[in-house]
Amino acid sequence: MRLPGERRFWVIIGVIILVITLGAFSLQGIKVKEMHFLESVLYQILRPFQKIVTNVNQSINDYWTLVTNLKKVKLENQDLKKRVDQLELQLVDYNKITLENQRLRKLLAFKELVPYKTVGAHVIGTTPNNWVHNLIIDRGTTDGISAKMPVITYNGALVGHIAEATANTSRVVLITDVNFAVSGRVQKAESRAVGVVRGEAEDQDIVLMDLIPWDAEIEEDDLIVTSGLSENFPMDIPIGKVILVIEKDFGLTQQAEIRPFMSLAPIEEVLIITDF
Amino acid sequence: MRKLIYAGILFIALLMQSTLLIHYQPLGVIPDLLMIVVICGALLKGSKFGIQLGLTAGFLQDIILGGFGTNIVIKIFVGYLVGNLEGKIFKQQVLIPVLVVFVMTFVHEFLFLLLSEQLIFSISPLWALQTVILPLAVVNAIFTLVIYPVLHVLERRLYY
Repeated sequence: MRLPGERRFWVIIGVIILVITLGAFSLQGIKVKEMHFLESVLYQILRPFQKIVTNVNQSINDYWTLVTNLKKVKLENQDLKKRVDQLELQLVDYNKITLENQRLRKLLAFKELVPYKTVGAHVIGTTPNNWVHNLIIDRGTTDGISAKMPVITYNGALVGHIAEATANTSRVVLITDVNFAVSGRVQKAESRAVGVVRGEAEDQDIVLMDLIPWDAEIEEDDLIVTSGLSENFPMDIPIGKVILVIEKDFGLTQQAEIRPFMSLAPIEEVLIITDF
Repeated sequence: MRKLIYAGILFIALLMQSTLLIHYQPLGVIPDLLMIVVICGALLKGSKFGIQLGLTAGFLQDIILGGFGTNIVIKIFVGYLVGNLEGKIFKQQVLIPVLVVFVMTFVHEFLFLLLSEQLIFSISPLWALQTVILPLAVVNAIFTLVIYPVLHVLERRLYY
């Protein structure tokens, strides 16, 4: 005897079981090779379109800004020229100090601070999701990018880390994402307190620093940098400035709200640290 | 033929959603064009077609987002649920799909939150409702006003 709709029922059950199994795989971090291939193919197809839209959008914006702010741009240009002159003067001083620093390091046999190896990339899009905003950049495994590499802005502020890399594109998880966490440290002489910096889902403009010891010295305007305790991040990458400190866990720990130096809107180019 | 055309439509929807609509977010949200196509297709052709559409749309979206499974499960469910309405409504009437999309956006987004364990513990339902789900439902409903008539005309062309 056959029940009506029996076959359909089993097909639906089968599909659900398959989907849940694959979902569980991806939660466990187990990579299904075919999925990775499909992702790669889809991104390859989407990439040119994303690039075109981003470029067109940017040139329209640039043109519009130029047209509406011509006078302002001219004034700004004058100011900037002055500023360059000032900075050049400072650079002479800086070079002198650097040389002195090198000499003293040699004298004391200190290890030299090696700058990170970086690769530059353009942001070509974000993921189409209202809850999680990941960036898509135009560099991938062919440029030496792999998962978990730290991503910074051109002025060195932490942006996030690579979640996944395909041949020519990668997905970047931002520090404001709930799936992101890194060990942070207060950067000042009298306090070296560490805590866990993580994203906050409800406010994309701040990140939270949790689990700071109750007696740690931390206050508004303190600079927070990466501590180097997280394996995948070098130390001393600036994250942001503290805007609020509150007691947590009945006074056992403190929590700080941090305004990150990187802000989501104007990111157009990033650097990926490939080696440190 | 129909399946091929719908696959093309889903792909174009994904393309729009991941390029243009990210730059120009109406009301600060990215409309879920794929979900609208799934719902309209299911309303026009029934739950079996709804499931097939949901599977394809969810698959495309999950690949882009890197995770796997969440969108497939939700979109299949939505496609099946809406497909049951086929035959019970007037297909010429555009306001019914608009209403269905508006309501199903709430179902879709709440299921998405329930299935993403990182999000569900870190946001309050009220905040989610006010800043994302409600505007999203409105924007999705407006987009349906354009998408449904197009699919309806397409279905008539395919049928005759």
